[in-house]
Amino acid sequence: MASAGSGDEKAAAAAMITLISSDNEKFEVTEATATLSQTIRHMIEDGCTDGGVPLPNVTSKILARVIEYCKKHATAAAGEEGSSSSFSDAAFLEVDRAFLEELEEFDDAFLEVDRATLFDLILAANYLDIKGLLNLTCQKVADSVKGKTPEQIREMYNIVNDLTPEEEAEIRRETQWAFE
Amino acid sequence: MPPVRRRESRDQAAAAAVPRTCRTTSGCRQRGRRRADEEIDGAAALPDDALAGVLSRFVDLGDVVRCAATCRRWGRVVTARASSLARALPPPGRLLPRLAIGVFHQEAEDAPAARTRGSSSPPAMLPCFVPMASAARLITDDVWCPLIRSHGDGLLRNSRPVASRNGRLVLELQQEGGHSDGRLKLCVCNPMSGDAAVLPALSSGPQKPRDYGCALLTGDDDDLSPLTSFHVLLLYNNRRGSTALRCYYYSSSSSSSGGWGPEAKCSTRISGGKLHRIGQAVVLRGVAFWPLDDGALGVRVSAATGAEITEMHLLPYDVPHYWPEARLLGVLPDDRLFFVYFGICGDTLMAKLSYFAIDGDDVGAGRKECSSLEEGIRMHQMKVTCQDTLKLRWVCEKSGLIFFTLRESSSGRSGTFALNLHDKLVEKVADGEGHKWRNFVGYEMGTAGYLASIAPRAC
Repeated sequence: MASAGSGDEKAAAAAMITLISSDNEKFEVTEATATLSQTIRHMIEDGCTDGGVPLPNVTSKILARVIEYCKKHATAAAGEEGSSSSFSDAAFLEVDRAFLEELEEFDDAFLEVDRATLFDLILAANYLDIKGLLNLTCQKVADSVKGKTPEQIREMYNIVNDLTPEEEAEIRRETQWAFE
Repeated sequence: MPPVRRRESRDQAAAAAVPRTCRTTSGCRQRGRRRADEEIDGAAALPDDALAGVLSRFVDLGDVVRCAATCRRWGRVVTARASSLARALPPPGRLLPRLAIGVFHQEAEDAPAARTRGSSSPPAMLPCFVPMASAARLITDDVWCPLIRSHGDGLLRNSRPVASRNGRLVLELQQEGGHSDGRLKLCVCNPMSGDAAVLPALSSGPQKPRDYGCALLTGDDDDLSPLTSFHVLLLYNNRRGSTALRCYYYSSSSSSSGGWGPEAKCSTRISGGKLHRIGQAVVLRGVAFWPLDDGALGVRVSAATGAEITEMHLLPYDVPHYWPEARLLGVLPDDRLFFVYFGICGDTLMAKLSYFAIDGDDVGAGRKECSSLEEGIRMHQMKVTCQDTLKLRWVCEKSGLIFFTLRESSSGRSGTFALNLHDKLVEKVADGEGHKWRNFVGYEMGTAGYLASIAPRAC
């Protein structure tokens, strides 16, 4: 991983992993893409990926999106390593910056999903242990809740307020400062 | 070649981006039924682990607190993950009066002697605890229950509180068998959780074990987990009669061993009488400060591991303040060290705060601002006369409370009070003879303890 030259990449491109969604759809991905998931990385290291990796917790719809994210970020990681090797003049730094911007745009567009999909992505990122994706999706939910009152949060996420009036008064007393 | 590779990867990305939009739209249509179910409780789709993942991304304690108030499950998740959430949060950057829990005090001035005076040994005296009204619901049982459960009541018998910070309390322990062998024995504990670490007895310590100042230094704001490391700093007069400092370093990791560091001579000589009433030390960015007559004594200990005293400075006041019980130091969330004393304005009690100018971490050049820049806080509820006896007792730095006791000569409206620096209001903590209390130590939680406490118990 550390010295991923073009030779390594060829080898990685040759090694394909099959991921199988809960609804039995098969996805062929490169090892470089798949190993963004720590869960799958460990499976590869343990040599138990022959015949495909069943992912019973991830639907094909969500898995397709997760793979899309991993592909983009796997190439980004490869790009970064490439640029840090020998080309460091201004032209390449410029290209690098543009690439990072593009990646940011990709992340923003990637998060333009409905709430149910966003939650499914969090669950998948959690299960597959993909740090970047988990960070991205959790941050998105956190940002949506930031500065909101409990009433607004309940409304946004259709949360049923199951606190008794007494309990609500009590918690309100304890947290009054956070509403000032 | 790298440039070529980069172009390839961008092509791949572009190719991947096209089907994405198609899939999203078709996906939404397919999932129409399931989404309708989620309308009932949208957040149920997010299990506790994932919810905790979201909560740990906040940078504002207020956001976590408001989430905890939305429903039972969210409240439960905040309670259960209070430690990790507290560690993920930056300092709140404001005063949180709800962190204050109460005050400890212990009347047994010389416990070993008291035990031998009578023929039958008197009942063990545990330090007294007086909760704040707001914290009464947290202390449903005896405050000492968790510690007694895990360590027995022998540890606490006739112990006295000497310092406190971030939910931790430093107790001076009773000598075994009630006989004083002149060795000082301290314990750092958390009364709320029952954790306790007993420090090895210090033989070449203070001349009289009662006359010393004690500071607890810990950068840890997670007051629910056992302490991983801390420093305890002592200021005392040694047997040769000179004022000295000594530090104890504790670490729970096996790689670095803790212990008492070497004695360091204090740059300022402090009389035994003053040491007896030295009171609270506050801690600002790893430096402990004691209020002395002419300035604040700042003492820095080795940053990470070890128990060396690395720096010592007297940060001068512009005018001396001679009365130990009429002065206190405190720190504010914006990392400012302040000096506070009380005065009477007409018939109203007034707190006067002035700040120390410290350039970053350069304690050496720090000094107190001119008294003309004092900030006055008029306590309109507190009508006093100059015959009344006033003692400044303790500053709780996170909750911004200044505890003081008052004996009113005429009306008998004596008691223990707390001035809240946030809303400038005074709360009566207890009626009666607070002015007689000894070993007075204010006690407040850390952020983790607070997060674990906000959801109603029934949740």
